[in-house]
Amino acid sequence: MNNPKVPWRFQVSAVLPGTGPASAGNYGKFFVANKKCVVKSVKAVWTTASTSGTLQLQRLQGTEAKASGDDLLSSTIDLSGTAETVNSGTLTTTVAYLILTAGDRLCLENGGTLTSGAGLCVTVELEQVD
Amino acid sequence: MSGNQPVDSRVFQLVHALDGTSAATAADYGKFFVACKKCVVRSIREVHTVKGSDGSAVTLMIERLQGTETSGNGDDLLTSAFNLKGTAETVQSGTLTTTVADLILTAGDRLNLVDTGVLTAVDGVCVTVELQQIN
Repeated sequence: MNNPKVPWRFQVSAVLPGTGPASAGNYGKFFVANKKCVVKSVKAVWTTASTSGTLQLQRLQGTEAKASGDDLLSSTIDLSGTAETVNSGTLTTTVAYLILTAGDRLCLENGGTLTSGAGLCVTVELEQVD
Repeated sequence: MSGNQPVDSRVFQLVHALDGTSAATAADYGKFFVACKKCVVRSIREVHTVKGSDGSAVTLMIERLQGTETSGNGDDLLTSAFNLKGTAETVQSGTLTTTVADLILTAGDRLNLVDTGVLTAVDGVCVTVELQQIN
């Protein structure tokens, strides 16, 4: 009674080191929810920009595969933007997509031309809600 | 200690691994966390599967990058770097810098791995950082 439940906030990162960001095959799942969570914010930064690459964050449910999930950003992050400059993703207005139930995954989905991309780091802030 | 003392709900641990021989590739060291919210670093541990074999020092520092700082130009978070020639499968606990302000990450600050020396033979590096989100 005197011990109120406080939401647990935590952050998880996906890292594609070195020249990993230049290869589409290196993008994919990086988090499986063990408990129900809500995505609160997303940031990304890279060491070297790509030619015209883009990055979307998706929620995968059930047996959904990469690129078949729900987009969690209203627009993709431009991986050809300035290196060493942190980008904040804008979350979708479809709030229901931001909720991960146990077993849902977070997935990086690439687009465009990834050539030259290097040293990608994406961090997602989550709140466990039960 | 009171049984009613609330559990700190904002402490979490972040793990970054350089799997297998990736740990012997200097280009694979770098940023591994971008703070979404203000955090403070509480502890850092490291372990590796195979130690470096080079004759000179081989080390690993954790640094904080702010603004557009690049690798090697941030603030060291340890008083001395981890020894990548230390005994394999033996956890090293880093001693945090006494410059407490450097341990605070504001939104957008990054955690970064900085290697020094020749990484020959280094394999399976795993670093865990305990953080507390403070707003």
